[in-house]
Amino acid sequence: MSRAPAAPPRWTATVAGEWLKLRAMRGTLVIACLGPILGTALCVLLAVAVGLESDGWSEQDRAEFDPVLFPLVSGIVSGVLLVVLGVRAGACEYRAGLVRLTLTVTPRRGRVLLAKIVVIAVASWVGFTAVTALAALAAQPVFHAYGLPYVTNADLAAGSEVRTLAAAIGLAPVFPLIGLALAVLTRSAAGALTSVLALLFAPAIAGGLLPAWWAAHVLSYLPGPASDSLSLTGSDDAGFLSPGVAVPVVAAWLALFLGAACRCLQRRDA
Amino acid sequence: MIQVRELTKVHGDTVAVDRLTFDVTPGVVTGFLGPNGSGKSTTLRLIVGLDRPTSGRATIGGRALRDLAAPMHEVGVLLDARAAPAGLRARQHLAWLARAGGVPARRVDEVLAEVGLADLGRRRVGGFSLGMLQRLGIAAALLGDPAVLILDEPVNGLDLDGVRWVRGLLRRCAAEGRTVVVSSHLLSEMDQTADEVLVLGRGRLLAHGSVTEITRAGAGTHIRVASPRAPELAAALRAAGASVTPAPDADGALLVTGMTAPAIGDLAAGRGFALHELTERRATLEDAFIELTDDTVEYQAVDRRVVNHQGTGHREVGRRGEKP
Repeated sequence: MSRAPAAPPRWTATVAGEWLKLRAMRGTLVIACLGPILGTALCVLLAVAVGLESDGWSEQDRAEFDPVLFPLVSGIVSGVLLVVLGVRAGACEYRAGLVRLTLTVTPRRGRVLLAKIVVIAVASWVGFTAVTALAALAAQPVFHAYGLPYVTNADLAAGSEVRTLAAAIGLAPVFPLIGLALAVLTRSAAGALTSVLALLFAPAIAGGLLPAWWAAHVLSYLPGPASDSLSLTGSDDAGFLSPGVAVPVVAAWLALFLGAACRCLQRRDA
Repeated sequence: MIQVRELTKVHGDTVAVDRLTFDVTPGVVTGFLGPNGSGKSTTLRLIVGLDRPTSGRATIGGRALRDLAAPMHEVGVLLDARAAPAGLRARQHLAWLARAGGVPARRVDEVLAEVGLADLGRRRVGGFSLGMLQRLGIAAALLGDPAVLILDEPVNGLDLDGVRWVRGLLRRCAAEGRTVVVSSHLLSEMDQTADEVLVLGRGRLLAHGSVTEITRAGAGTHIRVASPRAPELAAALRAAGASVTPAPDADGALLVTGMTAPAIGDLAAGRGFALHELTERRATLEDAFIELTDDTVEYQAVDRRVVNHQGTGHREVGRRGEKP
């Protein structure tokens, strides 16, 4: 049998394949629908709560209210859902042995993980930005109704808000990617989701129970607080890192989790 | 062409695959046979690079699968039909495979039609029967129009029509010059489909050859002779050096080994014995297989009487032990 030698598929083909696979899963559609609805609903409810309380505010309170960063509360919902997406992208391979098919089509295992990282990172940026934008649009009429400042007349030129907003969007893939790495390491959606949510919320709970020294010198270096140092305002407080420290710390955590997942995927029998 | 050299895989204390060496040549259907746990699937996983061998190597066209530039064009693999994600539609499943493998999207519809699932492309895989999943898995293996086809138990769950279809497909692929490896525990199926057979037992290669070679070598090939003067014929045959036993169905027929059918016929004619039956019964692949793998079967059913007896014994010991 003689056939023309086929061109080897490029890494972009692997990314496209992983994207088609993830997009076709039913759970992805559910996440894509739930994210905007729940994120916007949470933001609007909190906006109403703030509006009701704003009657008793002083002039200074009013001036300090920040309508630009307020929609980021929707990130609590979109963030968790994106973590679920990241975990699913890894765990879907192990539920029924799909990984054996994936790796015979693309035997270069690092490339498969890289493709999943690209898909999850882009989905996180797009998803997080879209939900935040929708939440902002939905919250503006509420602020207006209660006589609070809203984005159109707020001062965007100040820069610090824009920087924080950009950091929050830029960091959106961190926990979804950690979820992906843990799913590859544990080969289980439940295990990975539990670990990543623990990693996300445990420092905040432990911070209240442990002495201040611990919060400042240990907990602040965990991935959650380290990325919060970049994406939350008031990060001059104790327990937060300066950006110069926080960026390498977050990068190191990502490299550690994804590196471990890559090594494990390469060495393990599929 | 698949080359396997001294391939060994050890899981903890168990040697799953033990120094396998063989070649699989293109143009014929090669059957992989062995009882459960004999290392068939492990060997196939080692060949396609999913498992790392403890020692030895397996190559496809001279290279390990991991080094192939366009593996989907070179090797089509079906290891487990149930691996297809339940939430995906059949067409979506093939579409991502085609995209990742660098195969043109039009192949998706072509292979769906080829495996008889053209009308089910929009159905979710989760609702498929095992037979439909096997067809989808075979479609995935055919996507890249590969030179080597490796199918693990492809006829499991297929109805008669499906089995005949797979048989035809494998023969056609082999006739086109492809290398075709198919594993099965269904011996009658292999008897009809495979040209070459590899018999595995406890990870070792027990036999490798054409189906005729293996069945001829197996015991159980005999000639059945029926005659109204059976006792005298039996004596004459024994005198001529054949070994003769009465047929188990007790209708007076004889089972003869060590002599060919024409020789028996000539002998009977010479003595004036009428023959009512003279049939050669070649051992089936199943007979040969049972003989080859008899002492390597991993999970053997134990005689129930023995188990019961031992069970009672244990209980008695226990009771005696309880009483001081």
